[in-house]
Amino acid sequence: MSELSLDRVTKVYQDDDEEIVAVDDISVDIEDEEFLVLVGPSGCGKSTTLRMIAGLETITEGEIRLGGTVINDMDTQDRDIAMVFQSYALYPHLTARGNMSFGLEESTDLPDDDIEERVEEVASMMGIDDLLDRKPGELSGGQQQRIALGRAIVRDPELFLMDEPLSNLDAKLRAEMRTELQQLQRQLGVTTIYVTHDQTEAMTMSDRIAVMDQGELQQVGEPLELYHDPNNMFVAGFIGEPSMNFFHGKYNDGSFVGDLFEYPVSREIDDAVAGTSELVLGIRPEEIEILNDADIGDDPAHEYEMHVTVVEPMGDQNVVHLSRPGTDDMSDNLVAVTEGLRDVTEDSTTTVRIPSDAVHFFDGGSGVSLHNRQLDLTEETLRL
Amino acid sequence: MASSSSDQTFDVASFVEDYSLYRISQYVLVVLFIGFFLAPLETGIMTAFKTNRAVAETIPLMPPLAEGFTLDNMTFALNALSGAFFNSLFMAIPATIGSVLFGSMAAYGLTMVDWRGQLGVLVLFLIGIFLPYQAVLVPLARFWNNIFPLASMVEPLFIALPFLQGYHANLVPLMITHIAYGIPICTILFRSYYQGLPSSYVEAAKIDGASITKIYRRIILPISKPMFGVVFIYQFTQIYNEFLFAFTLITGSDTPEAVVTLILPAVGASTSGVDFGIRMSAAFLAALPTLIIYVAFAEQFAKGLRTEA
Repeated sequence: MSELSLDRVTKVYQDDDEEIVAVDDISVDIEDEEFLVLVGPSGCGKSTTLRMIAGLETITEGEIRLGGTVINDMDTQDRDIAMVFQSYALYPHLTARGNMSFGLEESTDLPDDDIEERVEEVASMMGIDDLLDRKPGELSGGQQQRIALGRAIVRDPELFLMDEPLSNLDAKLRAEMRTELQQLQRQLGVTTIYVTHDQTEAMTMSDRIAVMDQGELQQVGEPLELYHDPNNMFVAGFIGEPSMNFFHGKYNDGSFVGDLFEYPVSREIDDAVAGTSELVLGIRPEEIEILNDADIGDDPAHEYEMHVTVVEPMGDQNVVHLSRPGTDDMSDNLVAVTEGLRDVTEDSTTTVRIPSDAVHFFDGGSGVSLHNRQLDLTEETLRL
Repeated sequence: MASSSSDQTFDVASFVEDYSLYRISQYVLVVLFIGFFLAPLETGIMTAFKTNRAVAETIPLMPPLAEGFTLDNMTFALNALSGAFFNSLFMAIPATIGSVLFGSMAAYGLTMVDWRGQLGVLVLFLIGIFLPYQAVLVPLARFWNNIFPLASMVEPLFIALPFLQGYHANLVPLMITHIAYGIPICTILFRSYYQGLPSSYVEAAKIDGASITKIYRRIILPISKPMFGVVFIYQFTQIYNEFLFAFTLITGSDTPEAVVTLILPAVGASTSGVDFGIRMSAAFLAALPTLIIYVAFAEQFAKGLRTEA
């Protein structure tokens, strides 16, 4: 139970004469008992970061502190941590019991009886008592996953590291384990760093999310903060499913002028974006309103006639792909989400509204956010 | 409906026909090759049980008939080889275990532990494999006889031990030589196996707090059991059948510490000619230990080859 600090941590791989920067100058403080999810596309350096914390990779520059002590040069064996691997890495020749007690036998002086007792205790907590005498080869993927988790929990470490532990499970089991893992972490109160490429896992499980891309930390914050107030285009596009729609264009006299449409901006937005030549307008699919006939004309400046190309019914919602009529380009221009019972037919024409209180604007060159949607994001509403 | 089912029958029938033709030719080939490879063995064993007369008068492949059958050759060969058997096993078993165990440890250190200069050490091991035996024979003999006469050092100890005689001490340098020369090839064999193992086993064990030696003993050693089967069979056969080192380090076939490979050429040979019955008996007996090892480790061997592939 300790806080962990990464202070300007950098990892550089030497490949012949070439230097490959895998992790670039990352600083983040993880509080005691916090559940931090490190998320990003594959190859963004999130696993390398985790492995540096575990001591499986050396740190090129910077400092990692666990509970106030610098652990840069401490052997993996001496860092009081437990890790769950993507492949589980259960020892194939040992039974589940053997796998779970191995860590206690090696890292503590506990007598065998106490170890046995702790293994049994954790096993019954995880509901895996009846699997204890089986070998990993005789267990299903989900059961192996629980044993791997049990092996980490039984150690009672200062820090949990999890490297995509749910990615080998089927969708249903993954959703179950997500909830269960979250409950376990709350119950045990162990500081946890969880690496995943799945933004749903990041959003649903974490206290805070750290988004990484190309070795750099993009933003750290609570899930809703990242969703509504992203620092840049990468975070805006990565968080949220389906992804945010982006339109490239220019600023011209109080309006955003894109290839497909012109979007007059409010005064407030105008102050933020004026002077930037290359602009990107972002709008989340769930904020796009597909208008009923009666509502057309209420906000004519922000209403656009669109052609419905594909409708993906999901039950609770429809994902609607729209394109601008008159464009030859068959690729989707816009993705919107409507409630499931809404009747939207493919290959029809409809009018959508892009509400001006929900649009984001980014600098087209650097991707930095210039204006984010305005919500009353007080601490209280975020906590809910 | 009817037409579709008749189509299906036709398909299945043609498939079965192809399949069985293929199978028949396969079996014919297998039987031919079995005959080809087993004929010399059959000849050898049959000859071993024949009297000299029968050897001269019957077809070698034929089994010995009534008065042509004898066990005298076997008894004679067994008597001639019994001491050598003990010597060979006394030398080969520890040498095999030693080289396999050290090879596996070295491979573990070279693949699963990170330290500087691994490549240089690996190159040394590779050179060790390709070093011709002939090139080291003289230095080897000089080393064990003049520079470090280990045999005469341990001789008093051997005299004191039960079941052993003083002359058995002469086998110790041979044993150590075989261990030293076996380590490189064993290391390379184990190395390729360990490279195929997921590194997360070692990483998980490290995180569990196990030291480098504990990881080897409690995780890697048990996991590599099938590979031990393969390397053990290979190495035992090599050491047991080896002639050159034995010939150099043990003074001759007439000494009491001579191993099987040294004595075998002399058994059944005399100035009056070659006694084929005795020769074949001796050859058959000499091959028995390796056959037994193969049978005993067959399952492990197959498993190891599978996992390595």
